[in-house]
Amino acid sequence: MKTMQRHHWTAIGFLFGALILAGIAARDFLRMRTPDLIIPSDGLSRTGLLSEYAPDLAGTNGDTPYYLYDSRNPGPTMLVLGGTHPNEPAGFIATVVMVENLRVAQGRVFVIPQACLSGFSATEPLEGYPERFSVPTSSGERIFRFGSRGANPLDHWPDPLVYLHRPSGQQLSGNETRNLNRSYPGRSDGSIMERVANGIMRLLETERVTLAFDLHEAAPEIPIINAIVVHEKARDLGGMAVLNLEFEGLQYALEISPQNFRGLSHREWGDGHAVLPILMETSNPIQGRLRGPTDVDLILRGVDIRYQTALEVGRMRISYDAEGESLAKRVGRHLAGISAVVSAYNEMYPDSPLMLEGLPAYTELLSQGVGAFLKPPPPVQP
Amino acid sequence: MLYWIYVVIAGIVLALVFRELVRERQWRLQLALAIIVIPLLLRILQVK
Repeated sequence: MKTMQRHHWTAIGFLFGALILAGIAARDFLRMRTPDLIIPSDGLSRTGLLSEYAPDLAGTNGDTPYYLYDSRNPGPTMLVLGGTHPNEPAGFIATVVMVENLRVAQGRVFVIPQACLSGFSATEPLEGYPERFSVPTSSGERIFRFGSRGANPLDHWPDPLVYLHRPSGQQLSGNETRNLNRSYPGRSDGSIMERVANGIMRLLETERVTLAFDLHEAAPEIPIINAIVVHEKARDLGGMAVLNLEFEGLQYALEISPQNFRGLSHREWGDGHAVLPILMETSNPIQGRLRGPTDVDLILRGVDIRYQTALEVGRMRISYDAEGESLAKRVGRHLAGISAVVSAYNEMYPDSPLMLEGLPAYTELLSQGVGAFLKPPPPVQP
Repeated sequence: MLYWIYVVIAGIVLALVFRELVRERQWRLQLALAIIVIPLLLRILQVK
């Protein structure tokens, strides 16, 4: 029988230490799977799962909840997606504010706050992102997850070297396989993001959606910032909305979806269905390459000294407000954009308007903050 | 299917690392091998 030598004892010690570190890390990783609390308004008609439209999604981390607000008065149907990229919190929080405040007087509204639900369970490697952030409300803090741009690698591993978009054959970097906004129109037997994309396309078709929004954010140095991107058939609608927003003192660039860039919501939704697709972007410093400390404060206040310096130097084109790009401002821009597009739609189609109520105005969000329009968390049971 | 092939590969690599950790006599190299165990274990256990 071999006797234990000194190096065996050190091996056991190091292994034990590794297991303790793995356990600590595992606890944090597993906490990211806890669902975010969303408290719907009284106007909610029903909630359900995307797998109702795409049964292949059932039981997967792509099966995300939807919230339906049905006025029961005839009118158009609208879909709003947040969380297509879970590291773009203004899109997600704007839809949470909608779910918690919306009432619909005419027509119907579907809201999907976490379109890429899988991506909320992991952060982006090497970016140093916080795993969650909290928003103060009138009574306690609401905590939300800050995820990754794409699906959790546990739901799709390994990434291919080259992502082949179907059916176009377009080739992109392999990690775009996990990007929902490169996966449309999707497939029922494809990757998890293709299946989610297929579910959203089925929802658009089944519910005869007329207007559809996809809410995003991007780094201040990306050219398409503070922009409304529309499919060419929604060009007039987008133009009217941008003019309405100008009257409110909000500047948005109107961009037309490129016809040869495939897999994006504003291209494939419009090509595949009768829907008018609109994607909106705000300026989010935490995604930028110039950013400094990457913490919760940068998500909430959006103040970064390096972007302030870049703004003063003026040697590069950035969309950065000297007072910061706060979450309230970014959420306010998304909601103002949706309201402006709906107003423009109602001007174009006055016989069948969509009437929304309860959404906070841009100025209200700026003055009172996002937390004023989120329901307080339920008290913790002793 | 490819996913589970990669999980099996990670399991084999973990076994090899564990074997080297037990055989290695220099503590610094043992420490490095123990650190390598962490991500492999988390991936095999479907945690990260």
